[in-house]
Amino acid sequence: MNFTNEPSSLRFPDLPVYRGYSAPSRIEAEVFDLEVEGRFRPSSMGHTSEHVPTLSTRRSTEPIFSLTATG
Amino acid sequence: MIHKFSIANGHADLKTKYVRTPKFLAERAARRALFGAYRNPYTDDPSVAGMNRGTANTSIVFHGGKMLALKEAERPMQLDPDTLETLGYWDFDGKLTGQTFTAHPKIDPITREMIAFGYNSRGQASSEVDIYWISANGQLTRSETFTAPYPSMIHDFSVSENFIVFTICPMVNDWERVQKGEPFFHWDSELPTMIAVIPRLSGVKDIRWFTHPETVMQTHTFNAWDDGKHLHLDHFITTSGWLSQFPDLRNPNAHEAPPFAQRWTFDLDQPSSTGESAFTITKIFNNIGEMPVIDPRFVTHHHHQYYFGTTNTELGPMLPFGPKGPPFTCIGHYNEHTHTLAYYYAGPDSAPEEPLFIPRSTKSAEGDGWLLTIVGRRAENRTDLVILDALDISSGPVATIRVPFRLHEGFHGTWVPSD
Repeated sequence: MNFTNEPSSLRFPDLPVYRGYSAPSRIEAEVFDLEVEGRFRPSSMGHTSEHVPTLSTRRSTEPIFSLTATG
Repeated sequence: MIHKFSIANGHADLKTKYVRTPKFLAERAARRALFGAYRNPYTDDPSVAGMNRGTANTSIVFHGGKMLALKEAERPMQLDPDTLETLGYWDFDGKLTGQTFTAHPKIDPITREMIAFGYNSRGQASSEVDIYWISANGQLTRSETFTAPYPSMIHDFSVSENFIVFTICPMVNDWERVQKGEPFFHWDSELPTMIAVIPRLSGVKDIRWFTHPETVMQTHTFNAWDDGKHLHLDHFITTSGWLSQFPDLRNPNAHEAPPFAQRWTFDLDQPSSTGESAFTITKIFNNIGEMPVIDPRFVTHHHHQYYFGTTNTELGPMLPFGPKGPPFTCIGHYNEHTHTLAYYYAGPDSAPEEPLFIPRSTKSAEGDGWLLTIVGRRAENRTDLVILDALDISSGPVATIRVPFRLHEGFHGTWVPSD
């Protein structure tokens, strides 16, 4: 079966906003333990305390949020 | 779509999730696009006539215990900060007077008050602008309305300790054109750029208007501060509109001009009728840039450390233009104390996005902290989250978090500490 010829199949318009590195990346995902190059070194991060947002020594998570343009 | 990195104990996890807007749900159910061009309902499928067209995809803010996904054409969309589940549009317990809400609210680091606004607040192509005062605990305590000189995009604004400032630029919205299926905005270089200065305390009854000597556009703001007599705005300014997104009404062959950082200083003792003598304009540094960021502890007060996306061909070649214009190749840092510029070059075929500043501690000096940027590794069709020492970005990453696939380029982000 050739899905690309089905009237109801999804095809993005042939426009720059949908091409190459700008092509939609519609992945809803959870990735546990991403690879990290160059560990966060507490000695290079200064002192730590309850108010210090160091990236390596906090016991609870410090989420960082970013919003994409994909709508 | 939201991308969330959770970082603790040297480990990083990632969650990505679409905001479930009515538009998203309708198109997912139909398995096809139902909504047409940007903010133009006349290009939609008839089956969704009158439906909310929001995409909640410009920025995100965490304030008053709520996480809100923002787009300037709609009300805030509340999300669960842990699961990223969509909780629905948030109207501040019914107190939100308008249908729109900026993607760039400002949070006063001293009072934790959030100042926000909505333009086109009385309907499409209306000139009314609502200003919202939102207390530290997220209560909308006050709203006022003023009328802009013409209906146009008001993408960002500035807040100092004593003033709220709007730079009204002629990226105009003509509803007759929209009804014909034309773009929602056009750049009209024959209209003036005007600045509204509104006292935070007394509000719009004491609004003052200034006229810029040229027609220019504010793209995004760094910050603003004042001493009661002088008001300073630091922001990126271009002499064209956002022509990569919206056409020039007068000159279809016009090209988008690059933004430069400018400081506008207003002498508040001068009557605004004195025109350009009432304020001075100076270039802050000699490099193009966009996506400005400062240490958030200095919002509304004089800051000295500037971070932004940029390019520097001495470090690496420009990348091919994308649909939003030339990608950044570098993050820039301007130190006003030393009058020096430093760059982080992201590497070949790599494009960093808007930087994000995290202070080292609540008491550390301005700029002492980390700078985060999502970097697109174009040759690898993959993404990294790069962490830099914010006062030494040219030394390269302190750490790089590797994402095994490509995150679509985004606009704006925020950081939320666990406490």
